[in-house]
Amino acid sequence: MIFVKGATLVLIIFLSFFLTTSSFAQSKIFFSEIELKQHNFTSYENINSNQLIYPFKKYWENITLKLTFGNQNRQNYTWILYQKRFKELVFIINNDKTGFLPDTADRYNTFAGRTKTLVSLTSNQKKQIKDNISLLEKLRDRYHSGSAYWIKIQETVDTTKSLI
Amino acid sequence: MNKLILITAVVLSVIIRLFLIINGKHVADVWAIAKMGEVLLNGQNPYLTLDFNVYPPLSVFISALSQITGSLTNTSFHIIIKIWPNLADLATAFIVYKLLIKQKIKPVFASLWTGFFLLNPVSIIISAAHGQLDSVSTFLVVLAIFYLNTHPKISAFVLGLSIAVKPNPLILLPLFLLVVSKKIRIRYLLISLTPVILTLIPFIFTKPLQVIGNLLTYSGITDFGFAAILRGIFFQDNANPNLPALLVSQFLNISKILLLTSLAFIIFLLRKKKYITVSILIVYLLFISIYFGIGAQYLSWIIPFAVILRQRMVLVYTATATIALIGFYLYFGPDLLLGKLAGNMLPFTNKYMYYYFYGNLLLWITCLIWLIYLLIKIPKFVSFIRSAGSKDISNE
Repeated sequence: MIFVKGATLVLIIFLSFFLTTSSFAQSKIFFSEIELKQHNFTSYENINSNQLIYPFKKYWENITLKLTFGNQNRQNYTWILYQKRFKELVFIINNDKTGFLPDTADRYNTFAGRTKTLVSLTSNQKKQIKDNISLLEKLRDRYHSGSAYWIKIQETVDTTKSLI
Repeated sequence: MNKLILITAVVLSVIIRLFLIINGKHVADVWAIAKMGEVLLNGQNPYLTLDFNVYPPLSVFISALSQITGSLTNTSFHIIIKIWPNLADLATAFIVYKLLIKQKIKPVFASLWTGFFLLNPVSIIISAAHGQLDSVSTFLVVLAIFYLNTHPKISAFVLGLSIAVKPNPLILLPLFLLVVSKKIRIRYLLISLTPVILTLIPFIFTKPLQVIGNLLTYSGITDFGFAAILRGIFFQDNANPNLPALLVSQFLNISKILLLTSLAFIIFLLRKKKYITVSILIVYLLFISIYFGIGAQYLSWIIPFAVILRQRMVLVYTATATIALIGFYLYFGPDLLLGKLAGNMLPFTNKYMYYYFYGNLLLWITCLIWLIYLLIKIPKFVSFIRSAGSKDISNE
């Protein structure tokens, strides 16, 4: 019985690593939520690519995608995933988490490419992509022109432009 | 059948170790150990010359001997230095087998357990890839257990040799002193301290306090255990795996105090029990669970003692420690694990942080659960050991 209690306590400690959100000293933020909303940006994702729990989010998405049947359903879900990647990218850039920028940008580019291949975009979706482009360009220009981060974000701008 | 199991395990173990040794590189701890021997061969005192903490004197002599052997045989230092811990692992396996047979375990199960030790990835990685000398020290501790009942003076001397190679067996000395009879306790203590005192003599004449300070002020490195979990949490801020220096210093100090008080408590709990191997396992688990400065090589300490006791938790421990080790090496230094096979792999690739973090989280939880389980069983040692189907080496 004592062993069960001890093991339960340890399990609670283990789970608390997932339930607590990490808080650090306020890092640099380029645009406030109000400014982001001007580009029709709704909200960040709950789990972003800087978090250690991120792989579980990806595994869940992959499983959901594999269990999505029918062409239209798969297109809809691919579009949802593209939006998620975009929001994650905005979070990383806007919060100046440059250590995660290369991987997040590459992941975004991959999904943008997949979206281009699989999804027949509606006019609303194309309008949203134009808003995404203008937001990415604004975020890009917060870095020195020609710097590594500027170039990486420019790649995402180019990839996004190729969607429409 | 048991001979076939043993021979197969030995052959496989040797092949894997040789493969890792030959493909290894002269980096990290191997470089540091080489420097210790190099400085000694140049006629200088490594404890005064080098700007990092130097291992106890026997390690320095092993390094110097490896340098000489390397130049005589025209073989790289990183290959010669790794021979010692790998030979030590093979020798430990031999003693482990003898101890299992002594406990009247069936030869086929004794062979399987010994085979598990020989092929244990944690031991193989630390000895053959990382190139640390902890296996030499661990072998000597196991030998000290082997001789404890029959030849206590040899046991004391061998334990002393282990302390002269690496300092961690020093925390086991009180356990050995509790197990031996009161009549020979003082003699055991004096004999066990003799090797490290004798081997220190050549280095201690100039600036003795500085030499002893170099030996005793090493606080470990925040690579595994709870420190690694914290590093993972801090990594989420901006992919920086390093903890703030002030936080490290504070946590190290707190963990030292916690460890010392916990050790004192454990030794008090175990004072009337004469089961040396379980006591060693408990102390090492406590160390890995509580202390903030856990290095990679410390993870190998536990394994032979867990195998002697046929503790099944060592399977979970091995799995989680292996994931933690692989994540650690792939993130911080791929060439430490993979050597020449690392190719163009660069350190600090973010995706390997997940293996490092989750491996350490699971490892730490495993150690805690295992420790709690063993501590709960202390009052019922005899029935616990019988129910686990194992008999410890007792002094009764």
